[in-house]
Amino acid sequence: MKTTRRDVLKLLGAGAAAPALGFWPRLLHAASPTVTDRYFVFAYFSGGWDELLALDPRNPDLFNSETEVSTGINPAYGTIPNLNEEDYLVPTSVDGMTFGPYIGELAAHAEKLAVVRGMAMEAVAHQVARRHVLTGIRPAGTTVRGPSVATLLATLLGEEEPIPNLTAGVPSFNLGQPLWATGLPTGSIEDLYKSLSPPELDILDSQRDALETFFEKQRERAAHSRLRDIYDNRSVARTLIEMGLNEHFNIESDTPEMADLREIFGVDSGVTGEGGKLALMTAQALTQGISRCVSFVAADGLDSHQGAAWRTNHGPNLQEGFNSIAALASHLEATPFGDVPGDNWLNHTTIMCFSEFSRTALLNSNGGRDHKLYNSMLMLGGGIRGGQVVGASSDLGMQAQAVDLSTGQVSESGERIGNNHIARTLLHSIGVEEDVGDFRAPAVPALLEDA
Amino acid sequence: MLLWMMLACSGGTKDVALVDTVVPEEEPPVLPGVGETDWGETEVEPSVPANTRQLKRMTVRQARDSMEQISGGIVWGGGSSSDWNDHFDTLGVADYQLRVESDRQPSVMFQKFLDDAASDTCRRWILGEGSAFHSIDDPDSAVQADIRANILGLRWKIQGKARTDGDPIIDDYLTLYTSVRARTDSSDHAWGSVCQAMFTHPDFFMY
Repeated sequence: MKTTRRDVLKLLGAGAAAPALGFWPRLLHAASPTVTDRYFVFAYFSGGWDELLALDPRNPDLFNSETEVSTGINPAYGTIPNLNEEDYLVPTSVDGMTFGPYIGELAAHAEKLAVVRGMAMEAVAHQVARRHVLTGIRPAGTTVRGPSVATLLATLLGEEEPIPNLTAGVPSFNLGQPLWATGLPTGSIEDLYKSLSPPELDILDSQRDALETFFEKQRERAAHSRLRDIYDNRSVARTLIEMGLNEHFNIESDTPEMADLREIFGVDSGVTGEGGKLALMTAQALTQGISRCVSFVAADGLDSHQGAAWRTNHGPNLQEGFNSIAALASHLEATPFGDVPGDNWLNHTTIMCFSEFSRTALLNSNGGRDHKLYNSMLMLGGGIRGGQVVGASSDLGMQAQAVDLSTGQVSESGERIGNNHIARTLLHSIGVEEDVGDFRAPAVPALLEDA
Repeated sequence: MLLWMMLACSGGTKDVALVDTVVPEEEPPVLPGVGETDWGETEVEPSVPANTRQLKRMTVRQARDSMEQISGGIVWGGGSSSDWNDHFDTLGVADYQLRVESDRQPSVMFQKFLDDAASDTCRRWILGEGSAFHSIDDPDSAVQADIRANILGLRWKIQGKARTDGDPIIDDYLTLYTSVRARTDSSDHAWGSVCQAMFTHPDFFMY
């Protein structure tokens, strides 16, 4: 029988939940989600991705070193070693959806993808911009002013899962939400396996029983709620081990199931990099009923201000990240969901790929690219209307443009899409139409499947 | 003006009686169902006394280094590098790329790995690695006074608490010791449990 968070909370007693009720002012009065069988993945491409290399390319015949003075755009594909000219642009089966050379295997999923181009960011400092996209609300300096969107979604949907909100390498914030919705961090799938496992040389059961009795008494005697929280966290740590969740994340296991997963996610071939292992972890956390929201770093090393870094590493790192997303999408699509024939996990999982900002459309004096205030984003899966491009960056400097939020087309009478629109859209997709996150922006109906 | 002054002066022939203006105090009205003791009562927790401050958790490096120093050099994992270092990412230690501030919460993950480190350190410490574990001559002694003395000695070494008996938690540690001793018939296992309890108690890692 699957052990749920309700069971975990029962083990802790009401004490774990009671303090949380005081922090629910908005959500208590908000509409409950009408879609409750939805899961969320937040795939972070760390460092600021170069849109020209994947999500928002330009034709090098029109945009090059000769025209850059007037356009402010130069994809400079020709300066990248070992990149063939026929690979500069990757067309897809979707009209208007062409990708850059490093989109990897994700291009094959074009019919499921919703690409958002020409987004407006509000910061070009990594920490600030990252916190902005994770919370949907511009921070005050570097101080977040709201919980992570993942935490919010975990609060609304994740009460039954043992680890409602799992994060690997991605910061998580909890302001005003129950403590159990806070992201449980892990550095890697290997570390998650160790976190959920007893130590190699564990103490005897009798010792463990006596220790737990000792700490139960300490909790009863604790005079302050903060001390009780400490004892509760200790109990949660023990309970997670006792639930035996660790085997789902034992990537070194020689079981046929894990061997298949390693192959699907390219762990041994290396085509997905470290992101592949985390995508495997994500798939297991979702499909084994462990988590409701998972955030992970799909690609790293993208902050390529220097020319050598941009020419040599940025593209391959980006491609590994997109390959891991492609593997995740394929695996979820192939995994049956529930009892309805033909239904699959991808239908019930919203995947959002993002970076804190993108990079300048022109090379800098070092031959690399610096930070830029405009961006793209990629979404697919449950609730998302795939096979489309929403918005567009301008052909002058790749700037953000106003978009008709209902149609997704560029329109001067529309508004520029920002992180808050995306956050609001995710909540809308599960039927929460009230602005419970205080994002102060409308959702983007063009992105939604049922709008 | 002179006439006015005369009128003012001549009007004073009437004696103004000194009226007792002090009104006897009335009993304050007693409102039905409300007593003085009900005023101001709330369900809010009693406030922290002014001479305390907010508890803070030691950093991961402090936990690592403290355990090594207390045990006389026992490194968790037994290698040249502590296992604590392998879990820096999970424990939210600042790397100054993705994180510029370390997570200082007594989180689920911190307590899990602290428990693992304590289990390993205590086991090896009792077996003779590192510095002297016991504060008494006969660690197998079943005499309560000896056990209490050893508990006080351990508490001093691990948590820095003064070696004075009387704290109720000493009885709890004693209960822990005797319970494990009875079930395993091993003083090593019993002292190992006490050691692990002390390292994983907030008295060690919160300050």
